[in-house]
Amino acid sequence: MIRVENVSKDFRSDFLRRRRAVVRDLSFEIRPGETFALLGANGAGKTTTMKMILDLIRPDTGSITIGGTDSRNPMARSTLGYLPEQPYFSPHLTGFELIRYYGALAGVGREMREERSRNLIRQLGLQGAENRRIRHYSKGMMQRLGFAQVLISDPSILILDEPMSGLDPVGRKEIRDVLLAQKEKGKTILLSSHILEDVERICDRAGFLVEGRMEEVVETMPAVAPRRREDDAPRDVPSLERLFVEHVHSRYKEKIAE
Amino acid sequence: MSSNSYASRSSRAFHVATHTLLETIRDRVFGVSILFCAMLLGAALVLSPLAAGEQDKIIMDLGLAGISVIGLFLALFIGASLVFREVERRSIYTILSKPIARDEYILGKYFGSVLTIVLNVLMMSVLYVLLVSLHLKTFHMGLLSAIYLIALELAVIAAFSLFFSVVSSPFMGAFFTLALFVAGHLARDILHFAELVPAQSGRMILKGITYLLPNLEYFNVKGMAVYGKPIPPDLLLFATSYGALYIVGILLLTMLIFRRKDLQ
Repeated sequence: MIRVENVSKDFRSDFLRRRRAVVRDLSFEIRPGETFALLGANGAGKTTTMKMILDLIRPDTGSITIGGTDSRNPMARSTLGYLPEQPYFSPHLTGFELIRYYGALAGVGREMREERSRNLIRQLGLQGAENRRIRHYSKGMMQRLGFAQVLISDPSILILDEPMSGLDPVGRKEIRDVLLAQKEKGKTILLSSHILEDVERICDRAGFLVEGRMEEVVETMPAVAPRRREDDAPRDVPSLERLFVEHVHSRYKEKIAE
Repeated sequence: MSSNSYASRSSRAFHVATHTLLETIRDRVFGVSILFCAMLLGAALVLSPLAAGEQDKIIMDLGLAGISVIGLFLALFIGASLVFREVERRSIYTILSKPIARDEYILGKYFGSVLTIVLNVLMMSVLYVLLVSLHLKTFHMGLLSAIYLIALELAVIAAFSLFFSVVSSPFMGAFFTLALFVAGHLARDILHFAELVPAQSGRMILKGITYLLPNLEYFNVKGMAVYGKPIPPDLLLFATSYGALYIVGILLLTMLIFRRKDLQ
């Protein structure tokens, strides 16, 4: 469904325009209907990888295809919905106007747009606020609005960057339920998150990004229901947390030691 | 590419344009600009008796200048922050994650800002025409030609403003656009000045810059309109073609740069 092949990206970061490698020779594939997590420390290249899939950032080398179409072709995004970390929208529009606008951009017909907008407002608990200007929305409402713009075109692929970041436990549960419902519908989901408990519950596979490289792909998620403490985990079934510490944290400790 | 695909592409640019219009007219700046125009016309009305014998001309001239200057500041404000603000606030990520090409986005943003400017000029013009027709009773079609050319000039400025919004920050964008407006009105003088520069290289550079700049005096017929001189249709046609050429050129350049831009 999504194929990333030998992708590298450097940024020119400082005043002297020195190059800094953000993603290095990255290759991975997300299969149809699976939920894949990109894990890694801050600055590991997760957001840059997602933005390259969306063609917001162009890779220096390598190629990316979505459903067999080159990601540089805008039509590759016709089956896709994206939620950035801490989404922000025009403060002068109302929530309802914004959802319809994104529906129009996604090519959803007028009648369908109206119907889906109303349904999404109800499903995501935005009733009563839909005709209010977005500048009056709280962070949680903004996140739900972000999900509404993702789902307005009923995309088969969802790319979600830290979808639960900054939410309270209730908000987190609501968003997790939305994700699980999408997963049940057979949607392909790529997400990044620091909340490993949620990743274990939602995702089928996970990849560890360390300094722009795919360090390891976890093919089978550890059993997590009911959630057990790290100490309770059997020695032969490592939890994501242990793997994260092993692959990500230890590398950073090495780097600091250097 | 099929005609259907072209239709959906233009429809996406249309949606970006209408939402840009909706956002900008809800911005406080839009209302304030109309208020300023009303205040300026009021001031012209109050102060015109000071210019004995030339009252009508003063009111007509100040009115046209007001429409032009207020329109310019609106174009500066909207255009300079149009793309930059969406990148900075990250709202552009979700827009461009939809199946919309970057060129369509730029076109939509441009036409949205031009629609806002045209609406602003129209509203100010209604106040102006009412004042001229009802109070001075000296309305003639030349004034409408002058207003049309002001709007056209602002459309050219909006294209440059959008270009600067893509390549720089809002503050620098506004500064460059303002500098371009001033230099565009002094293009002929700069060319004369270039002839006086002793060093040949300096002369060549100055001339080159002048030829690249739009000569905005082609859009300035305020003097002719105020004194009731007829505006030749040839002049209107030339100014329209000249403005359209600059708009197309700058938009193409903006698209070319924006296509390659990494939205980090």
